[in-house]
Amino acid sequence: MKKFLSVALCALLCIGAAALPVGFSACGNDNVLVIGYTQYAPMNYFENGILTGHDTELATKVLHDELGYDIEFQEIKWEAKIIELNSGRIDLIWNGMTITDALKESILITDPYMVNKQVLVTRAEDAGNYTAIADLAKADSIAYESGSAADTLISELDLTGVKLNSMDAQSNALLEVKAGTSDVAVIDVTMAMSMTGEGTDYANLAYKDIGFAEEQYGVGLRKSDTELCKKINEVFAEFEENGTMDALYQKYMVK
Amino acid sequence: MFWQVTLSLLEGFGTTCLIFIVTLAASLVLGLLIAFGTMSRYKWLRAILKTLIWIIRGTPLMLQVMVIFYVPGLLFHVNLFTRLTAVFVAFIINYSCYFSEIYRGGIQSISRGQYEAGQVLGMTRAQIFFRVVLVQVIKRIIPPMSNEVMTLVKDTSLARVILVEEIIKNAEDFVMRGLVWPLFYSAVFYLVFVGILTLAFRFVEKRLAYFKV
Amino acid sequence: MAFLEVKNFEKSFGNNKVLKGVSFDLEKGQVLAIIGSSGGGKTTLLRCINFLETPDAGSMHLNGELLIDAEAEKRTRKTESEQRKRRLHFGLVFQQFNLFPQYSVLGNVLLARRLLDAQSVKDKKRELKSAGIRGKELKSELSVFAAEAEKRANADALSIIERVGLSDKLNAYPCELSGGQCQRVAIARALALTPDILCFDEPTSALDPELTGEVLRVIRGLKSGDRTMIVVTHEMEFAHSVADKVIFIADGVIEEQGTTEDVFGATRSEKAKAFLGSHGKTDI
Repeated sequence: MKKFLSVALCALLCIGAAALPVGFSACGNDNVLVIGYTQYAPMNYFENGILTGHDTELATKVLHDELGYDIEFQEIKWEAKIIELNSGRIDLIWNGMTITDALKESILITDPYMVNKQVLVTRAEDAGNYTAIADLAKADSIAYESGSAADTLISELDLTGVKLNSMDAQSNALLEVKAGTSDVAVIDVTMAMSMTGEGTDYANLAYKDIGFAEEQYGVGLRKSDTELCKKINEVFAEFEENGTMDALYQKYMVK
Repeated sequence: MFWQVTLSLLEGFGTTCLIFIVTLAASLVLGLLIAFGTMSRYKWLRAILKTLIWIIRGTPLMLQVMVIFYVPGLLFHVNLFTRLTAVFVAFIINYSCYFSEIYRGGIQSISRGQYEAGQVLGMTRAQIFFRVVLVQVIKRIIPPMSNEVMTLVKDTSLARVILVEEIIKNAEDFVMRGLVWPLFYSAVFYLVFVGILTLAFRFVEKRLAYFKV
Repeated sequence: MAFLEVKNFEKSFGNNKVLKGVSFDLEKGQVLAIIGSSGGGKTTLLRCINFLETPDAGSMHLNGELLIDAEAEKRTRKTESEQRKRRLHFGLVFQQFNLFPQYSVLGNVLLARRLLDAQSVKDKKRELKSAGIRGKELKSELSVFAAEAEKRANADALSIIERVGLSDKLNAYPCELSGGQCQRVAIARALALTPDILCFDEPTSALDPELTGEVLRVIRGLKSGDRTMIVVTHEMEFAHSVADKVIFIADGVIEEQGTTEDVFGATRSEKAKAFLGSHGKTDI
């Protein structure tokens, strides 16, 4: 019987191997561009079950309306964005991605379409304690999203003795502060604007500009997709000119 | 709001249950085959399977899910599986390896005498295994199996590393929108599920209590 | 030619030669007792006869049929069905009982018989089909055949269990029985397949002293005109009173063999004398 079972086992492995081509054919329709995003207000978020937000609308306008591609939005883990892109699971990262030199090494990035800044979020009553970047050292613990622009900034500071809580999403960094498990969070101003203060779930939190440098948001592509990158840049230039960019900013960023 | 959250979590819980059931059903069978393979008289087969088990048990399941999902695309520019299928494949391979070791322990704990008694009574090897040994093995392995199966219930939450929308993923989406309690509420679903499994295992244990191995 | 003929069995485990050329024969209806000190090769000999070990050399005939030919078996493996067929000539009762714990007393006795019956129903089906019987007729003939087999198996099992005195324990499970009762079930289980030769491997060694009596009584009760038995035992008194023939094995060699009177009464070999002396045989 063992012989029979060994044969059965081999057969099973063969079937598995034979199933691979089926898998091949099931993937990758070349006419559809898959856009990777994380749920991150106000860039990409759900409202009444429908994905909306600044980047959602911008991507649709650029890729679908202007360039004529079919598009599909695929949620991803932010820390896996480069793997997702380079393994072909997604074709673009369009999610308020801050342009950094490190990123430029592994992927292609379009011209910037928005300017962003990192800000500090803390409980409203503690906000007075922090006015400059150096004041971060006063905090017992800092929460931020792993792999985000904040991560890069914080890693450049000397914060010995401060507990660094690297979260898997900016919203979890906010949760940390709300729960009191971290003193402060460092996140995008765009998100801080829309998610803290009166009328939000984080009403008792406040954000504060402590002087981090400005950053620019760009769209990420595979290094081989230079053609598409060029087309997007052209549309961006056009949108800047005709006021589309500004209209979107007003719609989503300014409360 | 409560109902909206519950509905959304239930939807995610459906995926959780699907991952659980597919993994359990396939791994119980594949695990037994691997167990036989590791006890095979063919040295090469034993060597291959032992290496596989070493790799699978020696690396985190989360990593295996990511490898199965991303590596074909990164290396060969082909995407083999959809997100959910990749989770199935990774989970089935992982749990088959753990189950196979439990099976092997169970099978090897049955005394030679049982096989010999079957042999001198003119039973075939298949008859000895299925009529005599298997029930005893099952009785022996129920405690370690129930541990492993309950771990599986909770391991399903790892599916979210490649954005399969199981219950924790859906709960985290609420957190992202500023609603915190759904994350902790999701524990209720796990507790109910594991509670039912506990009862099921107790039932099987009782059913097999009439004999001693 | 004798009923059972064992010729020149040799068996080694690694460098340890356990059987160094053992030959004996046995007539139908005789009871053979194999005695000797532990590690002398008694159990290995019995296991070779029951196909649980394959001898390195030697041959065995039963009723004129060649069952073991060590030379030939080195060249070709027996198929499973050949192996099963020759095994069914022998029954074996183990020192450790080896009952199937998940089956009741009746289940233990019936299991193998039922499986054989199922096989014969399959054979019958093939036979009927080749005789051109099909459909309903085939079904009804088969069900009659199967029902008869079932009835016979049940009746046989019940009478065998009665013989070993466990009629009141039919539905008990092994874990509910004493050691002596377990061993009696094991004897019934072996008898259920009506083997040509029934073998016992130290059937009382795993029992508390006060339980050996019931088992020995049952074995003694089995001795009848044409039942051939081989008993490996430490119970000298039992060997003396039941056996027709005795073999004394030491270090893989038969030191002494002959009728019970010869071996116990007129012991020649020094080793056998020493062994019998230490086992209190003299004070019967």
